Amino acid sequence: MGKLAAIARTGLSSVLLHPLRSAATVACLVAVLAPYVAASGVAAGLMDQMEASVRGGADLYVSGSRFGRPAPIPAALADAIASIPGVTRVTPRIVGEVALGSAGVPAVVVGVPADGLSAGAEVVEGRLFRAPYELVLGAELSRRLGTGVGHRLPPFYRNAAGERVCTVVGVFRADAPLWEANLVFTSLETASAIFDQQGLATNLLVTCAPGYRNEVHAALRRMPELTGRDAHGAVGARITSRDEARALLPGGLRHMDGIFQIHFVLAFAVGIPLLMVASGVGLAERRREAALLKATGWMTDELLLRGFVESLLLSVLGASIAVLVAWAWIDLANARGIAGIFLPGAEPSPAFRVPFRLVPVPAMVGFILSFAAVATGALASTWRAGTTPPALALR
Amino acid sequence: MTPRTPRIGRDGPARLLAATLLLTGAAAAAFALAGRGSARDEAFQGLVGGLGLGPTPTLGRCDREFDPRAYGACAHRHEPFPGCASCPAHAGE
Repeated sequence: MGKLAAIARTGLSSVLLHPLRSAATVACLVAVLAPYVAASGVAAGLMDQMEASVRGGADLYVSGSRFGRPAPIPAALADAIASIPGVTRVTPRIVGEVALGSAGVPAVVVGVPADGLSAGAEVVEGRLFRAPYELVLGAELSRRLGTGVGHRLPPFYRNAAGERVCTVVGVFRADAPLWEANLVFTSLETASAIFDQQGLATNLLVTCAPGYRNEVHAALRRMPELTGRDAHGAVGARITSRDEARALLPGGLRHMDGIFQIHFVLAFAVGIPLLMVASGVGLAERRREAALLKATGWMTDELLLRGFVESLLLSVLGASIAVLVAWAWIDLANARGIAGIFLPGAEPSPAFRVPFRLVPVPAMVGFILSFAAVATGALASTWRAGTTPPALALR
Repeated sequence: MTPRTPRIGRDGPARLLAATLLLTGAAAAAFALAGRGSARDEAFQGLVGGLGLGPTPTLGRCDREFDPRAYGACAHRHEPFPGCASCPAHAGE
């Protein structure tokens, strides 16, 4: 046992004996692993925020349908839906896109009834809207427009009944979920005025009593007001349940995660030869060293143990540094400069908190692959030198 | 001319091992510290009625990438070219 420990100790010495080779190997490992760990962490953090979105959302989302596509729905249908047994609340909501300012900064307008706001003020600096034409802006949007609490926004929309100046009464805190970034959160009537669409909503958010969701879902499908006709013809209904929304999560994330995985495979395809070369393959220095040790009485298995310990140490060092680099860059520095790579449409240095949660499995898989590459480079070279007569290997 | 060999002190390997263990511990601590899913996430979602089921913070690229509950399918799904071919977010998917 003592002999094995002594040989393992020479593996540690070997790392120090060749600082340049060791540093190059660790640098290669960090370059390959850090982006992978970061991307996996962003995907996991995003998944957490999406799950919170499903949990915090309504039981059923009802919208209209024309041409087989989502269409606005009359907000007045909320009363008819509220009369279905098991429905506890129906909230009409408007979600739409506008361009603000002379630069046409894109913003997502979300309008809900002002009287339905019972909680949530803690995610806002300032206060929530109470009166018409009061807005709460997303952190990123506020920064891009150069506005803040108390500022007034000149009319940015066209309405046949006239346009009004809007007042910013609050700004979402930067640590709210990423979808607050470009939000214009306001009352339903203000959102109606912004889009000049009176009496319509994009969704009706239906909350059900526990155990009634399926019954309410079925009742909505049979509801004649939802699947009737108007002056333009047939109007359909689209109903998305919480379970359906939850089922959408893995698909959307798999798409994003898949892109990361493909990039990682490509990075690794380039990184493996680099790691093998940096760690030993083709290095005359490693061959000479093995031959000298062999000449002084070392056995081949002892040389391999020495190389194994050296590779393991370098891999652990590289993987640990990669995890710390990924954490520091994404979590502490909020993905400064690279957020747009992970989150399409985000600014390179976003004003919102980039979602991030380190997940052990991808980091461990990356480490094992890296160790395999490093050990292959070191051990293959050592094995070749170890099985060759020292005089020949030293030539 | 012989190549210069770095000097390794008697406690060099021990120091290296200690530094590696320290870094590994720090990396393990990062796993525990990273990820700040908070009550603010729930409060925000309660406020807006559940918003956001995709990786993009804007509606400009693709409605589906923002929240498929609000808009359903991608607006570029059928036109001008079929199969989301003109969608900047997932063209040709």
